[in-house]
Amino acid sequence: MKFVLIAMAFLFPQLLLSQDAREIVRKADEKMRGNTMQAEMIIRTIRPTWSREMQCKTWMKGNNLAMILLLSPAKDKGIAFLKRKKEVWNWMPSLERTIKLPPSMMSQSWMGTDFTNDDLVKESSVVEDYTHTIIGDSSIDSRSCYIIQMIPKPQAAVVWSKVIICIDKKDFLELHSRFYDDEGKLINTMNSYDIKMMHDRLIPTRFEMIPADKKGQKTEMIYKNIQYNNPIDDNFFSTDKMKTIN
Amino acid sequence: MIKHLTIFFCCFAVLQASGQDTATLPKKLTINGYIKNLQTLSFDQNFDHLISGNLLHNRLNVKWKPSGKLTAVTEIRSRLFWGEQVKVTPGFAAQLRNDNEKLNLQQVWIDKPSLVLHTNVERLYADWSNEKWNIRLGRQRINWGITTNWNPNDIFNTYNFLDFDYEERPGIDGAKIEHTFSSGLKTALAYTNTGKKEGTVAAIKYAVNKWNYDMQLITGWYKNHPTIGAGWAGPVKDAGFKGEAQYFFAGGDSAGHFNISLEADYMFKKGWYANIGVLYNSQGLYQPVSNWQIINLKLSPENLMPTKWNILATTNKTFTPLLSANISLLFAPGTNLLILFPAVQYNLAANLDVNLVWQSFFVQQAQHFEAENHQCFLRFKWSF
Repeated sequence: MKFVLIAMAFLFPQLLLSQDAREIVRKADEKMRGNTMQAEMIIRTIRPTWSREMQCKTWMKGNNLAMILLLSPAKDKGIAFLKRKKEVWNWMPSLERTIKLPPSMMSQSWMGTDFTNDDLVKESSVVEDYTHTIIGDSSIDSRSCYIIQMIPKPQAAVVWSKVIICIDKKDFLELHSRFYDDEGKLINTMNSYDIKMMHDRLIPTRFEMIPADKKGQKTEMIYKNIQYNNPIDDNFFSTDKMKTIN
Repeated sequence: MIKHLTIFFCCFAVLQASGQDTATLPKKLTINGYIKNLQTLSFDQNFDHLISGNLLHNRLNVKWKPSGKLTAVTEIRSRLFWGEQVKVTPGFAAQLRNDNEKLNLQQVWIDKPSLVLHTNVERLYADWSNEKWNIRLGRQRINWGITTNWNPNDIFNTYNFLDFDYEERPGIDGAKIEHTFSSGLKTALAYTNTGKKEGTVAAIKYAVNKWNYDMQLITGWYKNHPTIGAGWAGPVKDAGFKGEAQYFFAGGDSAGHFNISLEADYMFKKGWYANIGVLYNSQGLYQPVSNWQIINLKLSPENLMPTKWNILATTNKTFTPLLSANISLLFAPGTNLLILFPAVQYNLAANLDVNLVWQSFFVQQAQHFEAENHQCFLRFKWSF
């Protein structure tokens, strides 16, 4: 068996490389998200002449379950989003109403930021929905990184045609990402900063999403605190909970 | 008003006593709301006459959560109207009362020919919930609607979709008990009494989520006849598909009748959103109307629109995170009623928004299709 594996490694080096790449992405993803994750964050939309800030709490479990609750600004306080597998609901406290969102909403901007709904609630999986290849090395802020190319699998519900990510070799931190559209054009660039110990692990705590063709425009996401791997029951991610959580 | 408030707080004290076992959380009081200023210009068909209206509007929402399971809520809406609109509307202050509310928790502080100050307690309830049960007692909104534009399933407290300035919508005095079974099936039992003769509405709702669809069945008693309804929301490929139907059996002096609402929505690229809906009201009008003044335009769960067939198309575009616009077009074949309803929203500062809204009404009159009236609204809203 061992020989077969060695033989395969010689015959199909690309396969092994892609296995490695996938493993690196899996480790980085696992590190950032844990099995479950509870976080409080600030999202700042920055434009050349103005900026707006919102605060929210998030709960996530795997790829299928997520909840976001807005804490500010005042007019949006209490608005919540729930994702269960492919379904997304929005709770509007002022209307006292749960609205089921069409699937086409996922690939569009979330609350006017440069993040899509998918970026926030992670409908697609960076591990399962892409084919990964290491295409080089780089250094970001004196951290040595793998450069990995991710091409979505044909059936995956992904809006990008290609994603290039740079992952720190030592701590498996995703430090830089570039997102390309169907025509291969660069659409968004994401940079990560402020690497800190959060709960039980070292992670970047500030992310910048920069649209390629819009000067002076970006969205920042800053984690104020994160708790990893606290048990969250699946029933927590329910439309009833969305109404009462705060 | 004071007497009713006392009753409410007595009920709340009893509920709170029963919820003591979990009262380990710190007491939590949250207060929020807004102040709005709405300027209204109402023109006649040819823009020859103008009536202006002014409204200063405050809503104060107070929520007290003494434990994880218990919540008490009161929401108070105060409105100061002045100007010509008050002057030319006979009995203006009397029209502000919500007919569905049994208890009179309103107060008209000022009632002058061109100045009215009115306060209403819009919500006043105690809510107890755990993982499986939820009980809510008092003035509340029982919102069983699923679709965006018209809600045949919303049999407790309907609303007028043109009244864009009343986001929270009216409530009722009643009680609601909800239970979630471990299978995921949800049931709700709700009751209200409007205080009028044959004014009781009581119904049971069953809801499930299956095959990526939210589905519900409603059966109950509406005023003087039984009613049954169903609603759903789910995807067809990447679009949303929602619907509601409600049938009212014959009773009193009315024959069996129903409302059906169907709706599809889709989010296109670059912030374009589109929604198209149809409402069929079996009792609605389907002939050109010569005099709209004599038609009963009072909306109710049985009568969501005065017209039989109604088609509403809405598109919304977010230009920047601060600026968005939408336009709605309603057409009712038969009566040939057309309503054009464009609006622009702009966020001036973190908590300050401005809206510019227009509503134009056109109808078939004898052989002509002509404008009936036009309204322009400018609204500033400060949220806190």
